[in-house]
Amino acid sequence: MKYINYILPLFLLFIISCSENNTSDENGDGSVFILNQGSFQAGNASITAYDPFTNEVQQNYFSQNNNGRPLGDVAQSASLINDNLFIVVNNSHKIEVVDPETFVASHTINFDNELSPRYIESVGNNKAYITSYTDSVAILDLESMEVTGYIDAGSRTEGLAVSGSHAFVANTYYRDFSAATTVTMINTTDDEIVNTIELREGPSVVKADSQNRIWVVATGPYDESFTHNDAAVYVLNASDGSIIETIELNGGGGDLAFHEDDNSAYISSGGIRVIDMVDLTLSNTPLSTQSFYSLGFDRSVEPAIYAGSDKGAEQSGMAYIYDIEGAVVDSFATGIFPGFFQFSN
Amino acid sequence: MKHFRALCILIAVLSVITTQAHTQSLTDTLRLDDILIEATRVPEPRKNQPVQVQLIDSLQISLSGPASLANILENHTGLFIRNYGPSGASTISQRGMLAHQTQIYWKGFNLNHPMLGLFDLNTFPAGMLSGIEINSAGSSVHGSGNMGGSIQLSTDEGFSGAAVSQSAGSYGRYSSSARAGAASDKWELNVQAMLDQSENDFHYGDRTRFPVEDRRRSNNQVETQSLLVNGLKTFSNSEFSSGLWYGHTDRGVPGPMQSLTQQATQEDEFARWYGNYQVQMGGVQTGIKSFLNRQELNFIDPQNGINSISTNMTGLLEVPGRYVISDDIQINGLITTSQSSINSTAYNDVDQSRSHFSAQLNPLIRPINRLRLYPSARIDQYSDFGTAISYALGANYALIPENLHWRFYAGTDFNAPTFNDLFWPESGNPDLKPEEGWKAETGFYSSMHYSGIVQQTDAQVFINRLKNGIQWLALGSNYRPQNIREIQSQGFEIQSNTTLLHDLFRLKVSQLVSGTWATYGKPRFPGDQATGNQLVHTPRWQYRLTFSLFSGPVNSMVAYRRVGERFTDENNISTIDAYSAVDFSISYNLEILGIRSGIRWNINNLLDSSYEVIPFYPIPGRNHLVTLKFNI
Repeated sequence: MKYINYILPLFLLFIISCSENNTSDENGDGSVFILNQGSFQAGNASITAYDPFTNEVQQNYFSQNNNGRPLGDVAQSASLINDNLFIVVNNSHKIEVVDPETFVASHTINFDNELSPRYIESVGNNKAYITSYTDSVAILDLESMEVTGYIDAGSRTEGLAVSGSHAFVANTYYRDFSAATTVTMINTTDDEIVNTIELREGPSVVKADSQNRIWVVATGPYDESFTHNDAAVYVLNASDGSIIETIELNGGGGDLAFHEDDNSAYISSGGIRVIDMVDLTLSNTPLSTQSFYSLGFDRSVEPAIYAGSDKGAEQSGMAYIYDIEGAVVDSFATGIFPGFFQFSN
Repeated sequence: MKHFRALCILIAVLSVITTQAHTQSLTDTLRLDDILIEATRVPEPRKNQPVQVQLIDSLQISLSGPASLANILENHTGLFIRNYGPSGASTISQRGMLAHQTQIYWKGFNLNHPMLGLFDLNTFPAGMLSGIEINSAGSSVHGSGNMGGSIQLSTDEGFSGAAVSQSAGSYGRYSSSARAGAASDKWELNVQAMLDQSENDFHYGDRTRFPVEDRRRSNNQVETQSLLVNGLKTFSNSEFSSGLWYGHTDRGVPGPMQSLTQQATQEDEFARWYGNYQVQMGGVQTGIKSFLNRQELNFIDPQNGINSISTNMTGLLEVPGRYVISDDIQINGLITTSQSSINSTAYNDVDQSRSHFSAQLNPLIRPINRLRLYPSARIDQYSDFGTAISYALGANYALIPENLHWRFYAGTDFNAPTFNDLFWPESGNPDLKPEEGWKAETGFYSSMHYSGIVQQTDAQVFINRLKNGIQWLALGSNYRPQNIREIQSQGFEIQSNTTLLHDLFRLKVSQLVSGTWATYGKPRFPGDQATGNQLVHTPRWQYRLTFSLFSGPVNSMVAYRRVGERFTDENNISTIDAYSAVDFSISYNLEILGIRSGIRWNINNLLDSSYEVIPFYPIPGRNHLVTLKFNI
């Protein structure tokens, strides 16, 4: 009874805070790694590896290449830093550092329960920022792999993106689980907060494009049926954090992926919808009407949109590959809750 | 295997050197056959019941020591216990059904928590147990939530004298108990108190590391206090009994090995009162039963910002009635009304409550001498979701009176949504309907007596169907309970008890084998890949083998259990290994200067097996417990 009583609020937290996650984007000629979150507290997070050239799929890729060692609990996100892939395993309070070629782990950064990491990004000067289920952003020394300090953001920190000398951090929830409404802008040189940008409830996904802009998906409040119907995408000026445009989604809002060659941003919102990155307008016709848990974009073979679909907390999910016209060109089974696409280049 | 041989030799030697052996009577051995099974609402011996009934008597319980209720059930029954470790929860899966689909009763009063619908076996102080009865009757007998069946727990009140016991064991385990009782032919009074504490800081292999690291479990401590007072007063044609039970448990919640929760704690506290007045008026037996239960369940995890405080209040009033018209017709009825309320920070401190009324009839009809028919019907009215009607027909036919009985049962079931299902802020679903289902079983019970050997066999096949099952399904960001689950479960259970009676000893060999094929029914959502697959964490195969030796002052038991592999995902791709475990106990009793004393040695997980019932929740290796007891 105890277990189930506490797993419910934790699982709710897990669902509402990590749903429809960020993804790594764009180009490359290597593998696609799908981070499967697994069931909360079941310790069955996994990696699915997909080769877009051969269409070969390998499940449990981390365990396969690390003597059967399980990846952990809730594989949340990943980031390529200094030729290593940093895999953030949220509820195991750790980050696994692997060689993206061999997927052999070279280092495990354990936070010993002090930190439940969500996202990591390099910010230069041989350091990285880590968002977490604390009210702060941790500063990681990439030499020693140790946390050297914290930046107090005032609420649980979630999505993270870096543009130039600024990092942008989504403040999704306060510690009492009420929705936060801001994005914190940090000067990565001196780790000082330079701006707190007021948006709407539930900023979660944060992405940087190549045009010195930051894109933030804010879910908006829950309606009576516990769904989001007032989400929006905010486009910010990365230099000062000013709002360039607010794109109303008139529904839910989830993951975001860029196809900058085509000036297209794909947003999971009642299907896959397209935002013109020049006009900053939302197309009326969705590419797909199916809702997805995660999105990614890769053009190692052909420009392709990767979409992750979950089948509940105890069943393998599916990954679908769409062409940019919205036709499904391939699909394959993943682990449980495919929440993040990482491309090897 | 070497250990096992040594154990057998030890038992044999002890049985030979015993000088104070006394003959066990056949009557003692067959005593269980004659116990009236009250929990099925029709008081008849087990052999006459229409459903399977399993009994665990006080002797078997005492050999288990102050172990957990979960441990006793997993050694002596075919139930599968989802065990999250010694300070974690232990819940039941009966015949493939889920934990909230089996109800736990004490003195006939339901103990399942209304927020969750299930009962954590580890919250029941096993040291106070005197009997366990498991039956598979459904909703027309017990009401909501008996799709798997029910478990009736007894605490012993018929005690005169005074007794104290003290246990000490591995991992900082200490257990103290004291009881006193007095009785005459007109009244009884009993008091029991118990304190049990353990650090549970056992070593385990952390397989989340490579190479596997030896680590010590922490934040795994448990402390349980319990005080139970019972009284009974008999009159010329009636009796009144009443009792008050207070319990308090504090424990750490360590979490699975790869997401440890080192600051999480849970506190369970309850106060339960019951009153039971029964009167006999000619052929009519009636009375009134009442039950009050106040229960706190607090979970605090500072690391994750969780501070869940809840208080449940339940009040219940029952009026049973029994009219024996003749030897062939007996009418049993029951009217119940209850009120439950919960205040919880999880519900944003908004009080939620439920009123309930039920009426049922459970007659017994004997159209011919060897045939007993058990039709039953029940109506339940709930304030929050309406009415549920359930009915069943049972039968028992004596193929060979006293020796071989065939039985049959078929009936409908329902299960009320829990408070969390209905009222969880934002994601609770007030439109939920009750879970529905039906089940059927048939089997036989035989009891054969040869010279010095008693052979009892109990076998059945069963089929259970669940529809409109409530499942918290996470699809994308929409996580809420829905009536979408279907479960199809079928299987068999065979239990054999062979008792060898000798002037110097009594040896009982019990075996149980069960097969359960519990699968997901129709697709719950587009692309559902689980249809037809075995439910997660539900073993298909289980086997139990128990040797119990009673030889004068020496009693001993070796209990072996084997649980087959379980799937950990609905795709039935990932599994957790099958496991075997052996528990051992031996006790020696003697009387010195009028004080009956005893010493008992329990060794759990004798072969030091390394296994997990639920992935990443380690189970302790070999551990010991020594108990001294004194009775005046």
